[in-house]
Amino acid sequence: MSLITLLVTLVVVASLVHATRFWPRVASVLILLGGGLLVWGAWNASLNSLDVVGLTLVLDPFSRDFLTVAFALTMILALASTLVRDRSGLAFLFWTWPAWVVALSVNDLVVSVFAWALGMVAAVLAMKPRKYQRASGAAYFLVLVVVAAASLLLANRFIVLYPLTPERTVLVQFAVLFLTWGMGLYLSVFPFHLWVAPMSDDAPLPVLAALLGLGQPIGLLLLMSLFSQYPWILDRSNLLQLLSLGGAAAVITGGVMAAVERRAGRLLGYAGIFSLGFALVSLSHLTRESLAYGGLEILTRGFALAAMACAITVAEAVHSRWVQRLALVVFILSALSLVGLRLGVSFASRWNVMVEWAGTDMRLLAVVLVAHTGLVVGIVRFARRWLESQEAVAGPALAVAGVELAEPAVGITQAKGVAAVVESHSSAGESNAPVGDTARTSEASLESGSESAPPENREPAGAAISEDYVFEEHVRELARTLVARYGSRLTGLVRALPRQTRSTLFQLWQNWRVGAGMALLVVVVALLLLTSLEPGLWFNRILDSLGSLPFAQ
Amino acid sequence: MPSLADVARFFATLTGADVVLGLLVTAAMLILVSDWRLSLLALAVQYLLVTVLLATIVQLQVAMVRLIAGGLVAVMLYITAQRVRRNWTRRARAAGWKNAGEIAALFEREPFIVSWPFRAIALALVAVSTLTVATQFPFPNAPLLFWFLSLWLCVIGLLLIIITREALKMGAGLLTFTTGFGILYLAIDSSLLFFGLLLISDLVIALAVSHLASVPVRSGAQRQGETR
Repeated sequence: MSLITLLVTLVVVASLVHATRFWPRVASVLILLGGGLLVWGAWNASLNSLDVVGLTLVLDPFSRDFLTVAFALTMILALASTLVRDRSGLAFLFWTWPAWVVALSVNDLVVSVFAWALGMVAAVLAMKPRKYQRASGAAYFLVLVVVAAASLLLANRFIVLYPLTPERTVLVQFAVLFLTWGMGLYLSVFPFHLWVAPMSDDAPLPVLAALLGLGQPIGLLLLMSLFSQYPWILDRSNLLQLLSLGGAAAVITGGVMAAVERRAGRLLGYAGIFSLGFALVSLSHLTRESLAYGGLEILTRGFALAAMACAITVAEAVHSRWVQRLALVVFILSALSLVGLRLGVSFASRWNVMVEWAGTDMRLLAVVLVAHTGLVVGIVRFARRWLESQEAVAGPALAVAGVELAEPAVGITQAKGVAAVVESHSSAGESNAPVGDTARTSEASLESGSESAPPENREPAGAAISEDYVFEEHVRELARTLVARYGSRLTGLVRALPRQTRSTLFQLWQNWRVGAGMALLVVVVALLLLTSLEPGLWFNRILDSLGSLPFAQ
Repeated sequence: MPSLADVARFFATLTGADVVLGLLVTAAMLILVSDWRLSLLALAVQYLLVTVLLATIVQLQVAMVRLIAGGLVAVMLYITAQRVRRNWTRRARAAGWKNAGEIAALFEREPFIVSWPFRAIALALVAVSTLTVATQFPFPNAPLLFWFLSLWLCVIGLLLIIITREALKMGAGLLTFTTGFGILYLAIDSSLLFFGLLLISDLVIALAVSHLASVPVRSGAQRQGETR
């Protein structure tokens, strides 16, 4: 499949998913078909160059493999997103990719940086601030994207200028300064990591996993591309040393911060920083093997973050005991992958780095092991709260189910009660544990929404009506009209089936979320186990796809 | 409808000092003035003055695209602000509030986290610092005027982002930053490709800011210690 075809397919899939977001079953089928097509397209993507308005677009083998994995993970995240109530940001998981594909394939770093930044901004459109009209994590992330892109562009300009006047070493210093600043911000390396926590509060978990697990590594690929184009920069600067230091700092920061974190989004964010540190250290050695290990770390990290986000999202959306348990298993397995404790690919990608630290600096190794412990502590605490909420699932789950059933019967003009119900479902993403806290939030919101007089010092309860909800109600009304008009033919077909079959189909239709959630989690578990087998296969595949790099030692 | 020649004549009447003074005043308005209408007006005038400045290093037709894009951005933000206020009023009335004054009092809040004396002091400090840095540390390959104005706009943009709590104001600060960065980059590399990408990114940023300013909240919970 050519690049142009791949881009067009991406846009079409994103548009269709966006149009069908109000019908989650239809959207799920579209995502399966479209995602499968994209994965196949990326796997068979042409490596020939393409000239578009003076720019050359060409995919290298590693980028092609990265895109294959990325599209598969995006499909998993999107399928998980169809199970939740608020699906307004569903399509943006796909809308980010046209820009990111251009960033990976274009031969001009200026265009690459712009495209990468535009992809990040597209993800911002899927975020929702915690307070109405206030500048919050999503807004600050937008600021970060712009400032970091500006730094990278300036760095590129100085790198381009330097060969023309090699006696002006100040250009190299400026280039390194801006490159460090820009990449440090994007990759959330200490001390530029402060934006991750507020942003993770505003972003839905699937979008967060896509940004951190799939969007951030594109920066590393752009960095490698820069080294390929201008290998002299490695000799005339201490970039590799900065990369190594930044990696170590990221490992320590991520691990320590994750230990005290209770929120799902922030835990994912810090776990992602922790894992990214190892990728940076691997890349800083610039041998083919270390680059392959770095690539392995990047892919493992993306998969683990996506699996964790998928597990928590499915658990929050589907109140079934078996789904909850399976989701917890997926979460633990993928979290162990991030920590590097699970045998297989993740373990293999860390081993060399840890052995090197053991040989060069035992104090650093000790601190890194403490960071490992911190991340494990954070994961265990989160899993424990999850288990505790599962034990209390029966009562609160029924209350939530009752609210869901009653909601369509409430008129739009009954603003307070409806607003409280909508707010309770919209706040599902922020719960520390998937089920219990959501239910408690629902009950509290119902109680607060029942007051009749507008209080003096609070915003009116009706202020929280979602415009998406109003539109969705109109769409449901249209669907009811269509069913009433044409449903008799379908009813006749269904009545012709045997009773047991009708009953089973009806149960599946009513409880499709349970079936879909279970199937998705089973697939993720299978993929997690698959990646544990034969890590050498993955390593050799990446080594081959890296090819012969001019700067690799 | 003024022709390009008319526009060129108007631009020719403005001297470098006028542009510098105008950009200083518009940036100060963004920091000191709370009213969103005046802030948007200041942003629009800022785009006009930047167009005049850019017309000295690129062709007038190309510079005019900057003005058009800036106008579109200002219109997007204006429509967003109007829509947000209409939604406030509609929801307040739906919840039982009748008095327009009470409704306005509910939602009109100070967009800055510090009062205007502090903002004035901050502005003065930023102005002095920018002048000092621009004169003491010249930017490689960039003329002094462009370096100073670029630095001024970038720093004012960042200051506005830091001191505001409102998404629209923050967007204005971000767009001011990108305007300043655009001046600097075009001064060292007058590439049409970069110019076009910058304009596209400005429009996308304005779209993202409009989304953040108008989207319903994800959670109504206040953080600990937060009041309004």
